[in-house]
Amino acid sequence: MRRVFAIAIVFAALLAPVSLRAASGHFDRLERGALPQVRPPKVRTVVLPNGMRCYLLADHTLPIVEMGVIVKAGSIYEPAKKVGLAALSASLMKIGGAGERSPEEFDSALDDIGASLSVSSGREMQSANLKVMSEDVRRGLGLFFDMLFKPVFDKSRLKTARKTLQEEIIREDDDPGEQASYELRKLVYGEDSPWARRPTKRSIRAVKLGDIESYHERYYRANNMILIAAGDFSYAEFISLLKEFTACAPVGEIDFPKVEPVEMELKGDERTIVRPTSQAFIRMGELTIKRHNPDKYALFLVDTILGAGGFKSRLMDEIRVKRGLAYSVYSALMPGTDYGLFVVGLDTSANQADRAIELVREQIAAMAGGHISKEELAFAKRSMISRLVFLFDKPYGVVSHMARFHFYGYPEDYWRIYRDRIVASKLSDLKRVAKQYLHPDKLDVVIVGPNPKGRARGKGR
Amino acid sequence: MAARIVRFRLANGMRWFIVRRTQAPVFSGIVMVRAGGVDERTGKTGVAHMFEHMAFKGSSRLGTKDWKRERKILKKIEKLGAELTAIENGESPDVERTAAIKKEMAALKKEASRYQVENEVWELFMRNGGKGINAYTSKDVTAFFASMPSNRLALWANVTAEMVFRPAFRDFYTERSVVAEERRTGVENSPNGALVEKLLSSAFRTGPYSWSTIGLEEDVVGLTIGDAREFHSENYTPSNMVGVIVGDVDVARAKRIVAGAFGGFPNRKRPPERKTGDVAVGGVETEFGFDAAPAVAVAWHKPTLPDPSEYTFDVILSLLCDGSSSRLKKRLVYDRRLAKEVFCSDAFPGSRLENLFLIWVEPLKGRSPKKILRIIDEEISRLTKEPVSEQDLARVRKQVSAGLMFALDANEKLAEELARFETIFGDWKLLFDYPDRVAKVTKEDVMRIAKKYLIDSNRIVVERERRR
Repeated sequence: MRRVFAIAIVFAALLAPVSLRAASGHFDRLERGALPQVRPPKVRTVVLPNGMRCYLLADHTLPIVEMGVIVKAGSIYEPAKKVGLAALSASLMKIGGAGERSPEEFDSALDDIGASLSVSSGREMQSANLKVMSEDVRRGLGLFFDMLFKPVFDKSRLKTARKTLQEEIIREDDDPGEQASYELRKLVYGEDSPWARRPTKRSIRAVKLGDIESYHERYYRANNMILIAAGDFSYAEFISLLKEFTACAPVGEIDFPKVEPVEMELKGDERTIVRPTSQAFIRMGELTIKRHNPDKYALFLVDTILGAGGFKSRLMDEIRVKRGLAYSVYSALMPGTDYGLFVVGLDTSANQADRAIELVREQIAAMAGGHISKEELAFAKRSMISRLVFLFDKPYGVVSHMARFHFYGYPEDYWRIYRDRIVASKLSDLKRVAKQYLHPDKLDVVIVGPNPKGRARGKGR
Repeated sequence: MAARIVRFRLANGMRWFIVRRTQAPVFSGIVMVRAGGVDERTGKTGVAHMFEHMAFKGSSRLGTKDWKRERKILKKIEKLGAELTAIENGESPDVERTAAIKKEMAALKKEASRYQVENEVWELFMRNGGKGINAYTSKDVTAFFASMPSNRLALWANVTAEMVFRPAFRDFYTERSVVAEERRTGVENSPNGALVEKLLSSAFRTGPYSWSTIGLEEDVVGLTIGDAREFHSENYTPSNMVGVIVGDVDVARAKRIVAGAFGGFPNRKRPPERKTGDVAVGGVETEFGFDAAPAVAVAWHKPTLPDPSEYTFDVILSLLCDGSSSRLKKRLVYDRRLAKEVFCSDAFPGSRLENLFLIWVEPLKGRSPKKILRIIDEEISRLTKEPVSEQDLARVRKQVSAGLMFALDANEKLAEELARFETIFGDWKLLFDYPDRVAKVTKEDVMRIAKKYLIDSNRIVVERERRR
């Protein structure tokens, strides 16, 4: 009974909000009193002699320790012919054995202490995470750092890693919603862009063991990692364990390959991928701002009002709440190291697709045209600010956020800047950035679903 | 941990738990109702989930500017909606009448909206720092939850009480279309949703485990406000509900708040629960086509808690599927390179009725499901013949204890686990006793239970094949 297979039907939604108005009847009295201030617990920041930056937070609520590293590495640095190298390196690091242990011995050693280990590989960040009972922290750390610094990269397990990655791609494509999302990225950034490309059977096969070894050697250096840990430990003991286990870690400057810059270009292309589904899976998007653009805060507010704010955001209200056209409809602003992606997504019965796309365009055009109210702004601000307290509600979350702020080049108390900039955003700022960055007529559109000719007369309610 | 849990029962029978955790000035709250897919009747499948959607549409006090006036219009909508639903799902729909009703309903909807405050429930939560505001429906329960800043406990409690006790059933027919879209995304166009549905209908000939929680398509489009209202009044009664609050709250004050918000709703007698009624079918092998990579589901009928075999199944699950060194993962994923992933569950699709032990395999491209099934057979047969080593049992015990700790590390997770054990089994303590119960399982138990239940006549195999 411990494990409940994921078959519960969740009501829905992302975050949510709009319109600042006193609640009816006796509910407004329940809203009195200032919301609590954000007060992150005191975190111990240590830079080890090898350059590894560590954020640590002791918390003795439960007898467990959770730890992880984030590494500056990922798929944007891969050679074009070896797309998949980063993902394969990460997965082989985990399954290919480590230190003195063969893959089988490594797997058993982890399971013997009931540990939970995961690795993941993104476009510009890789990470590893370990959860372990505090009584086993020494053994856990040993395995964790063996994996990071002394991976075996077993040859037969490389076959497994290759096959698994290939299968992942196949299965992602089987999901029409995921397929639509990937295809939109390709349409916006270009098929071969490091920010959009995906591994193929051929590019996976091109990755050799030697590539993985040199990839690992290049990026997995102590000074290219941030370590985070929270849980049931004493600082002094834990830090000395870290020193002990990372003593042999390689160090040195990393020569990051040049990543082709994204060319800012809005196209308004449309692509239909015909599949015999009963719904059309629609993704619309365009290139958007970079991460350190000062307009980001106002644009986040625009995004919240438009479609990232859950149930009272305009897209949700117009398309789901008022018309029942879709279960899920959202917008998402993802500023990037290079130009980021702004996307709107929805799934609707095929015969409603054209109407839904039109509604989305109308809503984006309304925002771009400056039709934003003071009430909407006030509500969006309040919901975004009042939720900040949750950045720091879990010990591991506290250190994890700090590490990520540092990784992306912000100060460690970046949340203050975020809060102050959101608060300071004026209606005129929102109108300006909405006009500057939203282009309802230049959105690229991907539709995965039945043939467009059949769409208008397709079945559906 | 167990010692820090404060328990109490309101006069109307609603059970509550409060756990003070002061890491941050926030709390997570959940109200769980022992009302899920298993409480539905044939022909009205999906109504539990449909009600869950209704709860967010507000009450007679939330979401309205003038309930007296709004209510009159809602009553008209309810009547017309029932008529329209009957016509649309009837033998030969009356086209003229359908159009007339639709027109009238649209006008009424517009009129009602003059008195309504759209999404007020969401607005209140969001304006006050709410996070993770959501709900889910499973076969066993329906749960409503949110996390909020500590000094909004009274708001959370009062809004949640409105949602579960005083629903207004607004926008039912628009929301029914939303649920129909949800079904299309989650079942009709989803390879895994389709396999779940096929597995359930193959393993159970009748009864609530034979359909998926979201309901059968023909039933969902036939649901009316009356159906949702009936489901609610039968099941959403205080003694059938459990509430949990975990976080930085003052316990005495929290008790007063909870009593004030939830205590005023009278308890009602609930109709007797279904104890069984499923016709379980074993010895089934079937397949179906879908535009997606293959998957294989193998399942066996088994008892559920309080039957003590449950703990033995937990051990079996860990031996087969927990971690990379577990028997099936090791063989299928690593040694033989036949599958991408293996998942297991020993409480599928729910825990309140006798359920299934499930093994779910995603084969690698070009690998034969037959080979995979053969290896599963070998591992099952090994369980029946070869005593589990002390070392393997020790590992399982460790995995279970660690897994329990990992599952409690966030306020919302602890709240949900406590609510789940109390709501489903009427025994919150079981959550903490779990490692001890599993530790008592012997190698003889494993052999005996495997021999008794993991047999071919008790087994269902469903293969999903790629077909365009």
